[in-house]
Amino acid sequence: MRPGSSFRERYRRAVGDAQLRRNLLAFQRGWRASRDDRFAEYTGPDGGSGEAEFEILRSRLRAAKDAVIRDQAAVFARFKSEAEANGAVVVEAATAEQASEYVLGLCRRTGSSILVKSKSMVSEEIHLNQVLEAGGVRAVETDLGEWIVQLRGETPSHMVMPAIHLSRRQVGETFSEATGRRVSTEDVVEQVGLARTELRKDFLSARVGMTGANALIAESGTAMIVTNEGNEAMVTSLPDVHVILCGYEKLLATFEDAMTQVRLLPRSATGQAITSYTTFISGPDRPGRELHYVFVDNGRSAMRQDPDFVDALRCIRCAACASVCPPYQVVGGHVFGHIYSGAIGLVNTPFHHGLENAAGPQSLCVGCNACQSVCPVDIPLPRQILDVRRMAVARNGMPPVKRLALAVWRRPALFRALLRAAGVLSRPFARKGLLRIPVPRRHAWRTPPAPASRPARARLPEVIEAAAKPRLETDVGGRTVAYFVQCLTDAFAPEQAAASVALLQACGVRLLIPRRQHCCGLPFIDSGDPAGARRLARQTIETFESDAADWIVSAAGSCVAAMVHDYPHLFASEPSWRARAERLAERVVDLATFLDQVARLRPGALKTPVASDGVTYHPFCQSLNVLRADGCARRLLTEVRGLQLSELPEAGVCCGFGGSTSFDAPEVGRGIVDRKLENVDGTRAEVLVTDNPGCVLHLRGAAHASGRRLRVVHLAELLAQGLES
Amino acid sequence: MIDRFGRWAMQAGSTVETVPDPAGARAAIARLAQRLSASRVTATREAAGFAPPGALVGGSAVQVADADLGISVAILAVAETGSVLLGSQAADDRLVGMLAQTHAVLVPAGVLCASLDDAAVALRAMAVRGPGQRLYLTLTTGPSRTADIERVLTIGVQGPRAVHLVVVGGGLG
Repeated sequence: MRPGSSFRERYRRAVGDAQLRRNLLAFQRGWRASRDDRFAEYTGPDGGSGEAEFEILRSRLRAAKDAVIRDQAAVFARFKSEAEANGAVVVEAATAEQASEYVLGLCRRTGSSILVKSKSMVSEEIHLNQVLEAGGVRAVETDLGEWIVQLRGETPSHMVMPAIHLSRRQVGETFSEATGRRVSTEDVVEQVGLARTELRKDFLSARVGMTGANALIAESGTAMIVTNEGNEAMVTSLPDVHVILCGYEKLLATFEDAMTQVRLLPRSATGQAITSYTTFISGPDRPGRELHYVFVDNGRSAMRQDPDFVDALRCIRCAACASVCPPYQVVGGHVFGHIYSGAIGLVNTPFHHGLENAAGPQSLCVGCNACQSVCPVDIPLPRQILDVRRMAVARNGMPPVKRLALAVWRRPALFRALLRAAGVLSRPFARKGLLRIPVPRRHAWRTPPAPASRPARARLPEVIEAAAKPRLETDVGGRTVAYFVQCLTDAFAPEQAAASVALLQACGVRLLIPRRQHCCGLPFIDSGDPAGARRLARQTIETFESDAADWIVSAAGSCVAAMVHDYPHLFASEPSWRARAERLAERVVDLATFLDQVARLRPGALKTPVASDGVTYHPFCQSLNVLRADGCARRLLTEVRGLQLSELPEAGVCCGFGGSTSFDAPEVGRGIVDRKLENVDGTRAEVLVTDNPGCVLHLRGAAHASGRRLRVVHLAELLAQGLES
Repeated sequence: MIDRFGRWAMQAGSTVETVPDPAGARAAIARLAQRLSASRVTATREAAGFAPPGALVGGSAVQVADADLGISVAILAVAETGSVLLGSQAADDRLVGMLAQTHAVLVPAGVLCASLDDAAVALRAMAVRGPGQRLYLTLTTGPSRTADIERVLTIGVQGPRAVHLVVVGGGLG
């Protein structure tokens, strides 16, 4: 990243860089496999392993972190008194400038013209190197990745792998340029060897060494530093002065808590069981040596006092939220503009650098929730990003086109009338549900869906009585289900509604399809307009809250997730609506979970309508990460007689629809859907099944525009076809 | 527990051998030095008695840098991760494991513990102020490494390129 560039410039540069996408795709695939393997092979004290043990470990670390955040003043006081008793100096800096000045002062006092550095995110956060440089002190980054980006005049693009945006060829060229010697562009071992010889003299001559800390253990006043390269030992041992720059959020109460972090951090960060070095420093270890701690606030107090964001202080800087993030793979870390990239960057940056610096980057989030699923301290990142979006929209407003679209969306009658008119007018251009009209170039990678000339609800009655002899044997015969169609399905995919209704009818339930239902409000939540969202959420609650139905079922997983998980936060300051939302949520269920867990469809009840081995399944992100319904969908598919499911590589990675993200940042949507469709190509499947209407339309449009013959269908459609045969 | 320790240590890239007693340890180090054709050998004060004759003890950073072989003694070893805890009270002793090309660590079987939770208890005890306090401890697991370039695992960045653990069944005497 070149300093001072705008988000738009950074974004344009990133999406034009195909090499970057290739580098990051390889990185993300490798990281995910290693991370999962390390948790799978770990056995906890109770014999658990894999994701179950990950959940146990992260709930333990989360509790430890929350306790410290709550009692921060007391825990800090304990740390300070222990560290001081061990001979360290502990200072507090309210601002970035104060912290930098203190470090510069140490260099001046010791007469050191260079400062050797290792592992400090906070120094990047406060732009320490610039302050030192202005003060005549050269900061030498000694972590290999940091050193590479420093030589290039860049900043780290990833918190743990600072140079992961680069290929070995680029690294070799950088080294050749910096040393004036020919350094291999192929041989990574030679490149790494260069760091050993080049940096050694700096280690031996520097009088001040600086690091961060991964944990600050209050009970003994000990800093824990987790590293791999061995440079950190030199930075913390060879110079006479060691300064640790840190945030208060690194405090932990005990060594046991620190060990829980050791079990989680390397596995989450680099996919290692443990790093090569875990160092515990309690005080200066020889006469004449100094150890200084600089605790930096720089917005942390404001974060701690904000109930929407306090949980982000649990962060242990593993960067799993970037390593797993689909938009990150397309744009890399420099687009984020500041040191904290990935999901946590979107949440931290407003507090450290001001909201204006997060307004652009936050628009790239696709809301797939993958970040929270791998976060070792379970930070509610997706929800917090939406809160940042809300703040950004409140400050900067919405683009006019989006504002107009939402103004229509907000009004059910107008929305319906306009889409119906569009459906009639566009009929000559509609073929197989797709609209064959010219599309602006930035969006041409996806053929838009055709609006239905007759929307779903116009084709469905308000009540369908239970069949006397239902087609399927289930546990729900004679019960009542209210069916939530979803606005998008209604207008663009009536065939999905028809399939869902057919399946529910086959289960023998009495069906209510309230005519006045419209939209759950998700497009408004997603666009940073909570007031608009509340208006539609209230309308949805009023429509469905009567106890006439035992369950409210929808084939729109995104809307189910919104009703169950977003409504409570949306009505956080309206207790009566919140209570109504929570009562509603108890009965809301997605179609796959309903068929599998509630109706308990019998194995083999449905027969495959398609040739065997021609089907692959992409779980909708929120079915996977929020509703945990992917297992139900998968089971339903595998229990269809004659259907052989091909495993989709990287199945859990988003398809790139991301609500409005694929419209606001079409290059991100395209980059992610290309990854998805290339994975589908690898399975040789002819049919791709997924379980969210928006994703079906997006994938179908992208498959069509890229000339693929792939059929993309909603789970309900595939299962309903199984009824007919 | 020794098996488990060895398994995880090897997974982390260390090599491991087990010997019955101090004499075995001395022989193991001699074999290693011979295999490496080590001309520059350095050892911590605790390990000095196990080093070949002429080994440097208490050297400066410049003297110890890139020695062919460095020899230390583990304070603790953790089976869960295959790690050894190093933390000589004399700062120059720590240079041995930091700067040598190959690092040999003697692990008395008695210092082996099962898990990181056991290590937490031991670390707390070593942090208590008093003559036994250890102000600088490193839990070391395998050789120095990086994957910063294209996620390619590369061994030996600033620290040792190889770590050889010698588990001494009967302790160091």
